Amino acid sequence: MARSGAPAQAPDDDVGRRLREAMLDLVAGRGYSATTVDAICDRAGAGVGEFARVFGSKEDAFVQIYLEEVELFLAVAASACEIEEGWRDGLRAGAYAGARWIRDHPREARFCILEVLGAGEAAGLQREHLLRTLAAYLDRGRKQLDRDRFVSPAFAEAIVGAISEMLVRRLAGGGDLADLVDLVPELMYIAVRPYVDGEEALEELTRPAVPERRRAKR
Amino acid sequence: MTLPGPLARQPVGRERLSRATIEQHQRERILVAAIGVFAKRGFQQTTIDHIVAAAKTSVGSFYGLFDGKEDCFHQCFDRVVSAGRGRIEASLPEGEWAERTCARLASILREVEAEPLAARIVLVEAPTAGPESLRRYEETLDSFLPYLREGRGLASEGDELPPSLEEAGVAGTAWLLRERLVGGRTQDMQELLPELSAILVGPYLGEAAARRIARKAP
Repeated sequence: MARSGAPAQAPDDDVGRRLREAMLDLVAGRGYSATTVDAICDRAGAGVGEFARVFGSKEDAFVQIYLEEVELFLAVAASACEIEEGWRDGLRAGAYAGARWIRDHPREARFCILEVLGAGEAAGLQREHLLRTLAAYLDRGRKQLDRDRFVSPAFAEAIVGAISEMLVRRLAGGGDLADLVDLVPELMYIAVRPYVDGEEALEELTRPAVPERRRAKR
Repeated sequence: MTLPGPLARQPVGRERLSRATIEQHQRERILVAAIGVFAKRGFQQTTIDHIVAAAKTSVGSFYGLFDGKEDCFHQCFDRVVSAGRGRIEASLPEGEWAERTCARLASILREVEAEPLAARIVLVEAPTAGPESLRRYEETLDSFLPYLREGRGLASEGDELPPSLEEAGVAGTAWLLRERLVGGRTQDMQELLPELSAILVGPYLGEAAARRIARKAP
């Protein structure tokens, strides 16, 4: 998939691009804590001073790359979501688009889903912010509720947190997320069940997958 | 005079305490101190010097009892889980599955409120303290799954429910507790009981019924 995110500095700064790629490779491959700035620089063919100029510290570099990748992920999921009219259809389209992005970007997914957990306080705060953003969208489901039904906003947070934990556990257990698209019906059931009745939620398990959209030609 | 912990069971007099007894006492003292240090500073920011200073012991004594910071953290984790689980199990009343589930939740919430630092070890620090800690954390969450799955027998559509439903419920619960701990909001934890009951019991009996049962929980 072609990348559309801007690197940390001007696009023609090849050193920055190489450092970024090296950090993604190493962190996804050996883990954040086992990745040193020296190793990143060695792999990128750059000096430690250049790393400091481009990113500052290792923790800053992680956060910068994390935010760029998250932006790409959100752009893909949100554009799929916006095509649909209703909350639930939008959620489903976004879930499939997001799952396909994760499936197609295993290195970036490992970086952003698993390694972010041990990458320092700033990265942890960014992760929390992302999950709250996703929960805010899910929470729109409360507008669908019948009058006699009550769902607290905490539900959306719990569901998004739960799905995030489920992805972490698959990666931490040595697995990958290659089958994530197949899991979307189950995740959709879990996500919508508090907001719709049981029968309706079960429909999610048998619905056909939302087809993959072709990228528009420029 | 009341002697602390394991020493209390020893005869007082001229008899020498065994080396194992003294080590056990030292280990307990270091673990109690380390739980506070890890919880307040975070695993990543904690050094062995911090633990040694808090426990009023020496680096040599520390390494006589632990392989290093990670090993100490794992033992803190195991100690907190084991003690918490013992208290929770001892407090459970007789009753139907849903009543016992809500009572178990109420007991967990009391634990978090009474021992927020210990709860931080399990729910906040363990997932970010390396692969072995993450494995222990996952294993602890998994231990609730067989019990929760018993709820399927009460649901009219129990056979149709997706396999990851309970995993999502436990992960979502852990997420909400973690949010409270990270935000320092551990007063009035019982106010979460209706929501958590709706998350864990709701899929089988309906959210409204789950909240009703939660209101009667001890």
